[in-house]
Amino acid sequence: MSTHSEKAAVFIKDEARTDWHDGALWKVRQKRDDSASQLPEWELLRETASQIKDNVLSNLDNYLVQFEAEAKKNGVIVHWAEDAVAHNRIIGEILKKHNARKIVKSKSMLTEECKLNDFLESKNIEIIDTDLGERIIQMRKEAPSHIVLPAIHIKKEEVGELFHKELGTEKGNSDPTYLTKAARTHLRDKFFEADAAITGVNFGIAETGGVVICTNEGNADMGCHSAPVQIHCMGIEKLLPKAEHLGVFTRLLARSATGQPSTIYTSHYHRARQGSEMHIVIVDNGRSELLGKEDFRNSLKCIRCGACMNTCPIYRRSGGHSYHSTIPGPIGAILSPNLNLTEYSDLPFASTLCGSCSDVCPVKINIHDQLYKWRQEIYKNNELPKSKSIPLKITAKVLENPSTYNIVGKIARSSIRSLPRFMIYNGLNAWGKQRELPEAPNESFKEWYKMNRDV
Amino acid sequence: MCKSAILEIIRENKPELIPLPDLSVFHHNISETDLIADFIRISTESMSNVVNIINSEIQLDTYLKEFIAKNYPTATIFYDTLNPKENLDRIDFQSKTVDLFIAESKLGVSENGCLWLDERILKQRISAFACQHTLLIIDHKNIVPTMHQAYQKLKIEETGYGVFISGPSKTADIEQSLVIGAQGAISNTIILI
Repeated sequence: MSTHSEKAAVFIKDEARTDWHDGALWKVRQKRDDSASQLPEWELLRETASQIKDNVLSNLDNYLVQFEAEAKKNGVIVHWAEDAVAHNRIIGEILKKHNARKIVKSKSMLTEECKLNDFLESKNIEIIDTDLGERIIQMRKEAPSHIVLPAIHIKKEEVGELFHKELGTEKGNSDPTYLTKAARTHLRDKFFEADAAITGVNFGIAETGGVVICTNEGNADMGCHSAPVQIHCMGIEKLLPKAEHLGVFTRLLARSATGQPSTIYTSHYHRARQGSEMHIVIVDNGRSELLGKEDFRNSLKCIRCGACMNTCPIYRRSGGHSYHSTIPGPIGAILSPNLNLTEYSDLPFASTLCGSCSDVCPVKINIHDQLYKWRQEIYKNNELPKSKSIPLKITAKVLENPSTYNIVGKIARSSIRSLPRFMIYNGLNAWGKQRELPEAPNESFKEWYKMNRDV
Repeated sequence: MCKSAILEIIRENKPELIPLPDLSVFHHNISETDLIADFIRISTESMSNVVNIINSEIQLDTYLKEFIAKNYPTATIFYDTLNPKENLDRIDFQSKTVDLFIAESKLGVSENGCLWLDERILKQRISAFACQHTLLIIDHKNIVPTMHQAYQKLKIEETGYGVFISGPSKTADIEQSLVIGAQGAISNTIILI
């Protein structure tokens, strides 16, 4: 498995495309800023949302019990899955009971995390992603590169070609309106044919036992309202205590995600429609363990808006796939190491620690602090690659002793000035890749200060 | 079995109880004129709706008849929740293309143009999604400033399903270009009384 930096190196080879990707995401970040700045109470909303989530995490067991009891009163069938395997097994069983062969799914990062599509396809069940971006990447047999904008890495010409091959659209036509219309017709048939609909969940309400799903396309609703079985997959951390708390979170979610004042549809599901069945699968998959890690617990507050990705200079210029995890970007880099420290030990280093992610986070997760803390955990667990651990050891030795530090400084300054380029700009010096090193001054700051302090 | 295991780990790992914050800080003193002006501005500019304002003395059904004939001249199949004589359950969205969905929302939100519809009004949940166009009516007296007030007024679990709709369905999944008309309605028109 190649690391984030190796994958990013491939991504940035196409400079024009990197700039395009960077610009597209920055535009979304600016829309978020415009939207947030129109609410004088924005910071109070963020603080309140963060406090509500603090309460939820500190009382999660009771809220889950309450949620289940209320949902059952509503006739909803509730399931509990300790991990991804159990989640897939439970869904497999529900589908088998209904002899369901054709499934429509709306966007859900949780089912991505559990690799539900692969599981169902291995059982010869057709599963169609119905969010347009998700459908595009599904046809390309790729994973989403962003949690809100799954196909942000793909150009319209590529979609045009793909749809020509898959849906028979005109060759060479890459007009977004034309292509979206073609997808609409294609998906309409899929909705009405479906034996079951699967969705993720934005918010679960403990007080009422219902789930809330936000979309712009209306695809979750089209699926749930036409299929005879609807299944909602929800991580344990998605709960809110009461319906009134939705006021805070619906105000933050869309504004943080895309800058819209609201998603087009905010749907509240409490009971199955007549003649159909409603299931909720409550999934743990490492979340209850994460709750016990004081330094990292706050990451469970995440409402999956993607604002941290849009603002991150590393994400924007390395693309979501470089993160090789279900959730990319800064939030992915603090969630993934909890699932597998060895596999994702490179991700907390895919950051400049500039802190912009924490600044835009609608629930005030201290993302950059956690990135820094994960680096320390990774060091303690001996998961650092040699390219980092050896230079760090050397640096520690140098910094330990003032006279060594002075000598090394002198050597470094004169080397940068006098050594031939190939000695400085080579594979061993990551700082010399695609950039020039700064000009070395003649003396150290200490020497300069000594000379100038009396002036 | 696994439910108790999950709950057990949570009990062990959760921090000490942290109280819920006070939501009464989110009160919005805004004049009725500004409230309605905001609603119209956001609904048209941000959410791609067409908003028509009518005087409350106008006879609504006569107005609607003319309005529909003029604005949806090719529409033939309607899902009219305002017509008490219509048997809405009979309308099949799979075999027919329903041209226009008509309903009156009893709760609107000024800050984002959201209009609430629940199962009592919708009858068939899919009706507001599977139709080509939606026509929503809202009385200005039923518009509240923000989502806080909206959720105070609502009882979300009162019916099995309820939805806030703020505009026609849309997507920007192809190169961030906004396209109106994704999986749900292609256009949304609001009649503001």
